[in-house]
Amino acid sequence: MNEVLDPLMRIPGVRCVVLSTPDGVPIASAGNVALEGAPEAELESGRSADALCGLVAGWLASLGPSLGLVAWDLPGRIVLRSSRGAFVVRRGPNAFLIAQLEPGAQPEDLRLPMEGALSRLQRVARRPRMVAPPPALPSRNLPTDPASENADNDVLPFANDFSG
Amino acid sequence: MSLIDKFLSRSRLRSARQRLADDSSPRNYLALAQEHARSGDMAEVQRVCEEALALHPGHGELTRLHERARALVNEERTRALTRELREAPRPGLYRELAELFLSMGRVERADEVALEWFENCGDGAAQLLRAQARYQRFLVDRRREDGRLVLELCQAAAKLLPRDERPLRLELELCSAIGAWRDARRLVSQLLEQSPGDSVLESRFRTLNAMADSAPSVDAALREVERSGKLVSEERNARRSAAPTRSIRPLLKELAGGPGVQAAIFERGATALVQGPKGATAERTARAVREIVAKSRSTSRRLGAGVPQSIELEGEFGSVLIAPDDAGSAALWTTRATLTAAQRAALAELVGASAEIVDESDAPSAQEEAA
Repeated sequence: MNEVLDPLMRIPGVRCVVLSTPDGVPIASAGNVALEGAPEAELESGRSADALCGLVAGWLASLGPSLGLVAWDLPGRIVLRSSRGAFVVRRGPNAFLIAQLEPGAQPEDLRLPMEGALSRLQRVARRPRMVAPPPALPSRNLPTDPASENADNDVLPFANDFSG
Repeated sequence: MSLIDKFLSRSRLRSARQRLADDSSPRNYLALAQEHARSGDMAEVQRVCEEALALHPGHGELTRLHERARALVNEERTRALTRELREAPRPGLYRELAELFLSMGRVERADEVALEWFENCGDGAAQLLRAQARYQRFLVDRRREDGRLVLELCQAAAKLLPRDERPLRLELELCSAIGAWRDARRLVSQLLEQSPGDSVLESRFRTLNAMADSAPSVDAALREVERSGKLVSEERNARRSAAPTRSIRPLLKELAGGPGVQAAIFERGATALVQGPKGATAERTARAVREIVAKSRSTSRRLGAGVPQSIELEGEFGSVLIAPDDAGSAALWTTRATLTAAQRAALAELVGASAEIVDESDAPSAQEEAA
């Protein structure tokens, strides 16, 4: 996962990049995830990624009804520029890519790299597992169980959710 | 600087002064300030810029130079103070450094220095400075936690500085800003005990007395400020300054006439000017923008990112750019995938124009709504 996120960290002004599930659970992160001054981040040290993903997921979910008023679907890319920096959120098929920028950094600089990162993530998610260790005991899953159907090509928890 | 450089610099300064004496234009002031900057005398640059700005207020280049010189002087002083504190810490140095950070807007550093000062010396003034730093931060972020901390620090400072009015005055400022009138009245009465007969305080006490009955508690008021992102005084101003004015409308029309533009919206308080959609659609679009702004404000604060400056949404509907501001929010919806730089600039201009109108207080009181 880091091979996908790390290139984004090389763009000037990017403080951190986090990949999150749509319900706000962090999958992977790169850089220093620090929400300075955020009340949620002060609750427990080292939980900034959780707080960031949770807050962003909550924000996007809360935008849904407002966007519904004008029949707009949930946006694919959202940029929130604030006095202490900016947040860029790129919505993938079943994951969010969130980038936190330093004040003065340009969210536009991340447009293409984030698109590329999301495409790569989808490719990584589709990639079949190279060497799967044989199970110690025979599986109890029935062959009709949907979980076992995809077990061989499942790399990430959300891998099977990525469409074609 | 070598001797020859010093000599040349002195002659250049002399001629720059001479030109300024003949014609006190901003350009000649700039030339003189730049000569001083070249010779490394930032204090003199600051002085020349101040003199120039008194004659030519608001001149962009002079203002920028003045700011830069001030920042350099402050940085230099900060370095010197930090060095001195490392060698021989004492309250006076801590105070100066913390106040310097506060004036530079580096609230976090000011808080850190004041905390170190308090830990080393146990000085009440350190607690007061921490309260001031937190109050600055509260004004930016509107966070309940910051507000609570300001009150705690003020109370701690008041205990250590029993005859000092400053902690009480700061606490009063916060309570008045959030609309906690009951607590404000209590603070004014405490201040009156210290300065009996103060006519300003007495009249304030009478005003607060009338407002105190239906006032929320400090906690409730802080929660409301965090939710709405607005201080009580700002809400009053927004209600008073009312409507988007006629001078907004041409800008909005111009913006709506651009290629691919579906809607251009300007909102202030409960009033909206909408160009593009008509009737109920216009109303819904304005409401959607208002809600997005409110939710994004709250998220920005909770993320510790401060005041939101713009919100961009891109999806199958096209792209939407919203520029929220205290004086009013402007939004632009286009069917194109991204907005052009010109459209972004025009939106910023629209918000800037509305802010100017509020500053000049020339907005008519009548509310108007266009759909």
